[in-house]
Amino acid sequence: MKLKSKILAAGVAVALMSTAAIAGYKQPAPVDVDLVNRTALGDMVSAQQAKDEVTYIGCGIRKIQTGAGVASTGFCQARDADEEQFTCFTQDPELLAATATTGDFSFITFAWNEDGECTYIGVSTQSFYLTEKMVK
Amino acid sequence: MNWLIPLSATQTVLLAALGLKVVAIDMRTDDIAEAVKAQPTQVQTQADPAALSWDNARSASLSGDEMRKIIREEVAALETPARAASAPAQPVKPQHTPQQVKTAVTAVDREINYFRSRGAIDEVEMAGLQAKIAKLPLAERRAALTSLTKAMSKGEIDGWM
Repeated sequence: MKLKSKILAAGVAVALMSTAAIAGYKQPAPVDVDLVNRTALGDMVSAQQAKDEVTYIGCGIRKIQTGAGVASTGFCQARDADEEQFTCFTQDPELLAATATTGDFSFITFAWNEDGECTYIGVSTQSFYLTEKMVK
Repeated sequence: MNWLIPLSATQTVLLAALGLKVVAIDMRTDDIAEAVKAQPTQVQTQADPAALSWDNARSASLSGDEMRKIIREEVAALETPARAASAPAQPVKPQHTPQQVKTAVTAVDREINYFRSRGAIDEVEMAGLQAKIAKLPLAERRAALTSLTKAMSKGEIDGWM
């Protein structure tokens, strides 16, 4: 009986180890908005799976034909679990291009100036932002 | 035998008339020959590439290359109006007067204030507001976006860009 328990425990341990090996390295980045330093960061998966109904993060772009040409406005927005939030905007071509690189499972970080204009947009899409649940 | 004298006289007169006619024809022939000699010089002048066209060309003096050049030019002239007609119309850049800009800015500000007082904006309203903001000149657009995003960031307007 004792031997059986040991075998069972060993089997469970091996099973857990193999699951971890399949899932790979994980590094979730919960959304955090820092209004003092005017920065926000977080990954899309952590935001979507947050245990609240307020957290989000993302970037986007709107292209509008005005009759005199196309006006493009990019934006990034985030709200964390503490309900600190910010939305920055940009019309800078380079930053507009950065907003277009966000993927479904991206880590996003952005910063803004006192006028609310985005001064920095970082996007990184890595396997370790995917959750174990999504990999299975 | 009396009739021979008048006949002889008549023949003499007719011969003289014929002689005069031949001389006149000969002179006329010389004139035409001189005119024909002068003609090639005139055509050579017209053969200047810059002056080539169906209106002044003489086929006898044109080479194959010259004729092809004329055809190309004529075809191009025919195609140009058609091409211009089929080209998409370029958007005319509207020139707004300062008064028009001021009116548009006021309208956008009023709308942002309305959403601020209501405390929320939905997706459709946001799309409409951003379309209006996009039509503002660059500096005014930046100011409107600053106003909108600050209101959203402060939680005065609940919504998403």
